Amino acid sequence: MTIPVPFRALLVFAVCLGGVSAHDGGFGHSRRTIFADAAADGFILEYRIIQNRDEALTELTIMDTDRDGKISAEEKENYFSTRGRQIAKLLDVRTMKGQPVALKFVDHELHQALVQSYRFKIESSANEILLDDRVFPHKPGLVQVRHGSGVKLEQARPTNLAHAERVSLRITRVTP
Amino acid sequence: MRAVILFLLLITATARADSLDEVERKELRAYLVDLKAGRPGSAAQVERFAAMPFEGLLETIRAYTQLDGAIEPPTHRAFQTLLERASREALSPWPLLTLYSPDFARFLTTADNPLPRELLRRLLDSGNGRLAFDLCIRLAPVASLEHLAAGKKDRRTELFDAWNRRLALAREARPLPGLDGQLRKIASAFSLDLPDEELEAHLRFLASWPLLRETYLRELGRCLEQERESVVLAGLKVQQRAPALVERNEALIVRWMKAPAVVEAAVRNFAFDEATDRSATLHKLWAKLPVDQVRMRYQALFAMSVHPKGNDDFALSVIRDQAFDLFDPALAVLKRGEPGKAKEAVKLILTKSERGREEALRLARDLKLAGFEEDALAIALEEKNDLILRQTAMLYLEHADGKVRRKLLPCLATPKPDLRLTAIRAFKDKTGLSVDDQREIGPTLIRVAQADPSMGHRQEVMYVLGCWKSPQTMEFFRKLASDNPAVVLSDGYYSDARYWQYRFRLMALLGLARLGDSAAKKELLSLHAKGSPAEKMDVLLAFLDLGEVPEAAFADLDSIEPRLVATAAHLISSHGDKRIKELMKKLFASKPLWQEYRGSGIDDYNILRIVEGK
Repeated sequence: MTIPVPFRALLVFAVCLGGVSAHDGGFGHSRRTIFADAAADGFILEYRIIQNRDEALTELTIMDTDRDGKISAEEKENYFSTRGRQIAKLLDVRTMKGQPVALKFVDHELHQALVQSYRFKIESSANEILLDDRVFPHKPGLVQVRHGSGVKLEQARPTNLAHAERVSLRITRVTP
Repeated sequence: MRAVILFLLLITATARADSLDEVERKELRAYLVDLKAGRPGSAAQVERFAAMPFEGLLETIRAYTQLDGAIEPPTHRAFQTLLERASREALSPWPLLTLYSPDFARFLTTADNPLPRELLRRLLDSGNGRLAFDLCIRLAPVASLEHLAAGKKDRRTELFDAWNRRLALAREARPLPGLDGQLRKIASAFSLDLPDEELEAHLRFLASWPLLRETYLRELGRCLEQERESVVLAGLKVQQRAPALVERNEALIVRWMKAPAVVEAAVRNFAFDEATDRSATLHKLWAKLPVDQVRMRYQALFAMSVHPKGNDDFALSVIRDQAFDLFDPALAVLKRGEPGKAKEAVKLILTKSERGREEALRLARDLKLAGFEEDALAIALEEKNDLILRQTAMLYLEHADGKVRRKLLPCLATPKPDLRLTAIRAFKDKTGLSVDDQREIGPTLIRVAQADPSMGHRQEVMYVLGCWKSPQTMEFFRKLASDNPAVVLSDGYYSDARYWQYRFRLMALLGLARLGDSAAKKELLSLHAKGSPAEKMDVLLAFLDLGEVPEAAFADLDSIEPRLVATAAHLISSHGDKRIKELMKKLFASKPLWQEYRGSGIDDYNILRIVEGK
């Protein structure tokens, strides 16, 4: 068991980590998967977050807006839709010329492994777009990058995906 | 390892797919086909399937239970490893499970579902050891209780052990149908005639359920009264895990004095009963323990460290006799006894013993015992000494006066980074440093802050200088701030340069805020307002050092990051006024789901304890 460390102890922590990963913020690691595929009028994007139990439970206390100890369907929908829209704002999509492209939150799904999966639609006729993931600046972690057969996905900026904060990806439409 | 990570990360799906789930489902099916064909499992694949939806888990369970013919051990292992990795959330707090996967929740708690029974059978027959039994409890809890309640002999001890492991981590929160009835049936089957291993596992199972408390007390009492040593020992082992009837141990020890294992366990268990002061009992018992029974005396001292009243003389006599094997618990007793006796013990060890010096210095530091500065200094400066011993000596010296500490200055240049770091910390406390001392030490520390090869060490020195709250450091911190302009880490890509710029500015702001610079404090609050949870937490930690609670801290109690919530609660609890502490308690009381943390085994940050002021 741990208790919140005093400032001094955090420094010690930072010093101990010195050469390994100085940018750990003390929040543990994030785990996410970014998946993209082509759609007729643009691209689809799935952003999957795997929560830890304590994170998920803390989130539950916020979700329970009427504070009755239960999560109603409405509370669930409200929370995850809001979260999906928040994430949409933190996923920056641009054309190769740097023009912003709209990313629209579509829906979400939850899975047993404390998985939150958010789906987005990117409406763009461009063949190639850039995605900049800024959802976890404070919590680097393991990022899996997957794609369907309609696109090619590669890192636009080299990042260690085993311990990444921001991830920048180039999504290119391909002919299956 | 690197290859595995790369493989994990750079997977590319080739088939056109509507969704990530579908892509992964196809891959899972292909993997299951491989396993069914007897091909070996793959750790990398298992990790990829860790987040599979319930449907995938169900498909895996079906594939495993439907295997025909003789199954080779590697196949069992491969299936069970996959199931283990993908089903960890079966033991999550119940509201989480029902929210994230109502189907999975139903699967775990439905009584008349044949699949969990088939899975239980397959797991019990697999011969795959602990993993198999843990999966029985995790994925087939109802069936496993049915198995035990029906009195089936097959793998009974292992199932009890698996339940006990599970209940040691967290209470059972899943609403298992017919649970009370099953538990009562299982309890009624307890007998002192059971094989030794099963008896202990069964008794511990009784101890693990609040519903069976009365039965546990009754059966524990019977065990302790038994004539068979193995039964008494089983009772004592469980008593250590679930302390009860400890008041009977004194008589038991006298009765079993010729059986060292029983005496050792019975004496030791006093340490686990903190509800009642057992100091007097241990005092009486000490005289009865034979001098040559070192292990008995070790356990007695161990228990006395929890119940120390009036027992420090025994601990001191152990030190005087140089009974090295007993030094550790003896010093723990002395730590809670009269400081004069602790001081005598430390003196004895530092002057007459080559062993126990590290522990003695730690005790002296913990109790702030003065008078050992010269010894500590000699130890700290002796190159041949063990590194940790030298560090312990330096830390003891952190409250020594300046004349002594100045002699540590050369250590700030040692190439050994751990030792250098400890030397830096030895200068944190300004008390005892005269003006002359500060004039010599201060500039040396500033030079280290500017030129140490390690950025982490530089940061530590900045922190130490800040702790001095010395007006002479104002200029240093202003320059530090000017050399490191404000940067919000979350605004850009990570780089070491940006990170240290951020950290050094934070140190500058903290140092200036300690000196009463209101602009620095304002900038800290601004960083809190616009930063990510990481920056918010850094600011809260800075305010923890400043001993103040900014209004903004309260909002962090509603963060989705538990660590930030815990830090805010800790700050409020440590430095908040009565009003804000009450508001915090009310806030948590108004959100019933916080109570799910209780007994869940996942409150790593002790949020509830902090809020309750414990």
